[in-house]
Amino acid sequence: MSKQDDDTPGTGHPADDGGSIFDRAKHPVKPSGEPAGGGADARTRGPELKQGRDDGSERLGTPPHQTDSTRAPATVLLAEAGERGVEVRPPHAEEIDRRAERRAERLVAFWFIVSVVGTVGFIVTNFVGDKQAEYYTPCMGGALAMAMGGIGFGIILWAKRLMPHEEAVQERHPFASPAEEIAATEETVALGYADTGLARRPLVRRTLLGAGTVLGGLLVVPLLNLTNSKPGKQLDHTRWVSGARLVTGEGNLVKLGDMAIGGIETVFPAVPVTEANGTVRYEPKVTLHDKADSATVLIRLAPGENHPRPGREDWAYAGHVAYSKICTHAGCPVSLYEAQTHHLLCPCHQSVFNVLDGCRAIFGPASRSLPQLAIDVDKDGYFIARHDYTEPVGPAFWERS
Amino acid sequence: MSDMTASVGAARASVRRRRRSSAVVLLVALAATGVLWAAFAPRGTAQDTADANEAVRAGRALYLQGCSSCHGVNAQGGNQAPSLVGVGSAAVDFQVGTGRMPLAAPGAQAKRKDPIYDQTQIDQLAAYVGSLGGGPKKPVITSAALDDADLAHGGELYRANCAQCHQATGAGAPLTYGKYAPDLGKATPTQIVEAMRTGPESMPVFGPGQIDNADATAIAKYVRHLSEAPSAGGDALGKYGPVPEGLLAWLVGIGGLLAVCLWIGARQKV
Amino acid sequence: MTTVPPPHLVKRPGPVRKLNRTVDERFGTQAGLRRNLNKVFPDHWSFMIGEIALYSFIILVLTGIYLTLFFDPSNTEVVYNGSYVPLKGVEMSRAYASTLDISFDTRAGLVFRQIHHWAALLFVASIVVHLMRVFFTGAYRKPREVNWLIGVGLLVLGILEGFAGYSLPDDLLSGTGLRIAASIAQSIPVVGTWASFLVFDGEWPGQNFIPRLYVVHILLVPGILLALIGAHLGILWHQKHTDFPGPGKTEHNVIGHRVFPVFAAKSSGFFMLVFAMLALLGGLAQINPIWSFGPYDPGNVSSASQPDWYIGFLDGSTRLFPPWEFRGLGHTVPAVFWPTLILPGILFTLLALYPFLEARFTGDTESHNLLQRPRDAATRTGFGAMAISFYLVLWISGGNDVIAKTFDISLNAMTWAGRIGCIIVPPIAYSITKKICIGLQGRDHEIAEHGIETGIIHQLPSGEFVEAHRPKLPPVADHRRVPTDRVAVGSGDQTANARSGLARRAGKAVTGFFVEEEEQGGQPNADDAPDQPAGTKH
Repeated sequence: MSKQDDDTPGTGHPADDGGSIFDRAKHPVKPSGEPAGGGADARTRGPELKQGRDDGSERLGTPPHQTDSTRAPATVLLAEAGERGVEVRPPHAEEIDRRAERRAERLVAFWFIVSVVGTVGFIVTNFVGDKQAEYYTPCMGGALAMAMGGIGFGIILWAKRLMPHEEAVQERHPFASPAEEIAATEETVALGYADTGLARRPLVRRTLLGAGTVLGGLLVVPLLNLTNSKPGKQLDHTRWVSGARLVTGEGNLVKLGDMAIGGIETVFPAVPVTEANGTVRYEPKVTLHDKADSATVLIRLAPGENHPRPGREDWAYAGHVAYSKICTHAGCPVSLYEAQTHHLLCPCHQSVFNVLDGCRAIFGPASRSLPQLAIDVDKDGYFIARHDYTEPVGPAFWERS
Repeated sequence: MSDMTASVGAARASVRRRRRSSAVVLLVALAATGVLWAAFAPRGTAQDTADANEAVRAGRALYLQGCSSCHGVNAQGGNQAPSLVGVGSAAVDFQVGTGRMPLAAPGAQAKRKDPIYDQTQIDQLAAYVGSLGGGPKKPVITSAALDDADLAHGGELYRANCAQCHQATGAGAPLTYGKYAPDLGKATPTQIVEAMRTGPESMPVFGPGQIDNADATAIAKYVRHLSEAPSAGGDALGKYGPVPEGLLAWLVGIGGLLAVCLWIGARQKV
Repeated sequence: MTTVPPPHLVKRPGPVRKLNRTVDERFGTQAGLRRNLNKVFPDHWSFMIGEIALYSFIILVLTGIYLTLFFDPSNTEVVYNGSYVPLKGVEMSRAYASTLDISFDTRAGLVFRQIHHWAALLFVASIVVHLMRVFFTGAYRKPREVNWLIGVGLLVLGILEGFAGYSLPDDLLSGTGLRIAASIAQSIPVVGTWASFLVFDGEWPGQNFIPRLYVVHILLVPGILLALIGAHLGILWHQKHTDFPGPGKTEHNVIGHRVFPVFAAKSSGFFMLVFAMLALLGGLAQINPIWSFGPYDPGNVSSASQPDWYIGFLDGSTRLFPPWEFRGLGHTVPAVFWPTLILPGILFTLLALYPFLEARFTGDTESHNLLQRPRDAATRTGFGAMAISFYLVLWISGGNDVIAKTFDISLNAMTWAGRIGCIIVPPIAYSITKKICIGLQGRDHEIAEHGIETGIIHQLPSGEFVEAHRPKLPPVADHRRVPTDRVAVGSGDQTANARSGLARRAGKAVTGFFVEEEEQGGQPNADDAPDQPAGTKH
């Protein structure tokens, strides 16, 4: 049996120690196996972050393939079945062990005390600290980290330094059941199925199947109850109506001359409301829902810069053009306006629209131009919309042509 | 290569000739405007006028020395630089005060750097360019006005008008083809209002008809708050939102915990 | 190994033993309890990555419970009047206002909110690292395909859960994200508008959407996550953990530490350290400062609006995808549909099916308990590198605006680099990785055949120089080896124990990586291998 070979090779060859071939070249080993470069450390090379203290070095990053990283069993001979392990100890090992153990105990206790300090710190900061102060959250976090980390480091050091290390071996058992088990189970199910009589009674079987299928229809109920608002044509329209004044998010109606050349303003519809006495007032307050599809940018270009699309020659007014602010790609508000190049950039996916050319999409994932809002100025000098957008604003959808 | 340079040079020369002729026209027009202005301008005290004239004279001397090679001897502009007639003193104070002008090297956009002129010189330059007529004047923002400004209202205006480019935290963001909206961390309240009024480079103009002076001051106050207020909840990670957060989660969070795994999995020699 | 006295019943039990007996009288726990306490887990550090995800989840639940006590999931508009001055008097939803209150007016509110968010980032990140470990070592092979599927499900649900949480505070950033989500739902062919209207209750921004999202975030998805995590761990426990080949390790055993006490101690210590790391991040590094983003307003947006990192690759794919919108017959399939629904659909389907595809193409129908090194499965490692590089290009493109600003690169150049990169980088990554793996395999063969180079040059009498090679040694273990059951029960058991114990195990002990090579050659029969300690034959 090859067991002897496996378990007791430990006398002569300390260092076939993982690591790259370059490492080995740098630390040559004599053919006999003794390290040529001197230093007993040849075997603790490898990806090591922390050189050991007296109480043993640690090997960080156990190599994934341990067959390639023989460790020298200089001190421990493996236990045979039922026997006790025979340990070859260097002289004074007992004394060294005892000191190392005491040091480890103190270290573990230190970390547990760190945790107590952290917990106390957390509680004190929580009740005494000033919630608005800049130090509050960092102190809380730091104290909590001490409270948790102290116990964590303590336990792990305890396990690593004070608990016995072992190679416990456990059998794996195949999951597949024996053939007779399988046969018996299959037979049980088959007999039970025969007892139900489903195979013999097609009427019962078919009506049950039918009832089950129809029952599935119940799923539709909660699903459709999620909304009372059918899509219908909702996506085709916005809040803009003929004669709606342009109002800013602050509630200011925009007048001709308010904006300088090269200016941009986000505007919403102020819908005209006819009072009982016949006067018309404009509702400057815009709800969240109206903002979501009616947001529009009003840009003032220098005279002659605009190149209107055919049929839209009168949609601009004195160099002012208005386009939907909702990106035709994914619906973000497009509003990074470069006043020199007249590009509108969407901050979400970086589609670029050319304002001078009817807000045509010239870069990025958007494929449609931003819809244009036809604007005019009423007799009081306020900007008004001539009508709603002539196409759906925002991202495209299946029903859109 | 040299052919191309030559042809480009020829084209430039013809442009220059054309510019020169238009510059003559412009000069005549300017002279006429100047005479008219001199005739009709409101008179201050003699001392003020003398001071102002002195500043304009000194500013012109500085201008000829530092700016005229690109913007032209009479600020009429050149093929590399725009005309400064009508840009106003606010634009000069902003561009020179933030060190963007004089331009070190042409690029997609002028970078903010330490100004090479002191404030007196900048004021003289601004006075000279301002004397060319038109354009927004350098705003005066007193600390009292800043104190009175409504911070929350400034924040709302900032989010509505500025955040789309300069980012909600004022850290700046890129525009197309190498241009960018700069970080606002170093901008003074005066510079912020100047930028709104003059629309430097890619920035749109926000005139007083859109955002009045009180609102502009409030925005400036909010921008200063963004860069000066202590950050709640630890380091702000460059105020760049989820990208540095994700990076930190991977490098420090996952990296650190993997190091802990290595340590726990390391074998303690017995 | 210490000797253990033969078991006898303690006559006057202490409180712990008393409790144990009380439970046992009712449930009969002793055999099962002993079996589980003695369960062996292998020691390799990379087997703890999955634990990070588990502990992050626990911390997410704990901090999440704290946050639910203060968060008010409501769309109702209120005027803020808390202690954060720059938002005083601003109209906002109650969800946003209560998040501000958690951040500024609740004791330990901000630190737990930030820990919660960091834990979410770490939860998904550690799932991804764990997935990579499982993938590159072939741990998903039979009999563990079901756990792989559950893992992929956990990843997808984790991403969804994270997105729902990111969207809850109703700030400008989360609102922008939800707006895009609504557009994506709307882009589905045929049912898109209905899907969007059902999810958001009407046209964006919908009616009372936040309570709905809240239920998804704190009940629905976490419930499923919890159930799946339970199943994942239960299956792991039942099937036993895989291990790398090593001294004495075979397809039929597990070698390592027992659950009690060492493994349990290390794991609970690790939980504490994960918590400590998250507490540090939550305290010292600001995350999602919703107060600087402001309340959501559909007309406003901030530049550099980014999702959290795990959505970043979808943001990137959306940015890179060309403006290809299909129109015809009165219908439209928007460009946003392909990179946000079809692409991740394909990616996650491929990921889920990978074990089955691999088994099909390699014809490997065996069960495997020993892992492979990445180099030993060069094609798989190549595929993995390809997938990672593709993902990375998308991921970087998701932050291309921030990168462009930080490093002064043109945004358009970044976009084009991403578009070209996501096509040409993955094949390059594949071929380079595969070449490296094959090279490393060659090096292993070299060592196996000729031994390890010593760097010592001898001159032969003929004048020829040769380098001395040292034979590769058979591997040995460096810890005491102990049987699993310290305390045997009954004499009959003892013989059984002996039979299945070290004697038999030793017969099966594997040496060298030759076993693996034989597996590679389609002869995965580790049982027959051990009798040839090949390394010593030189």
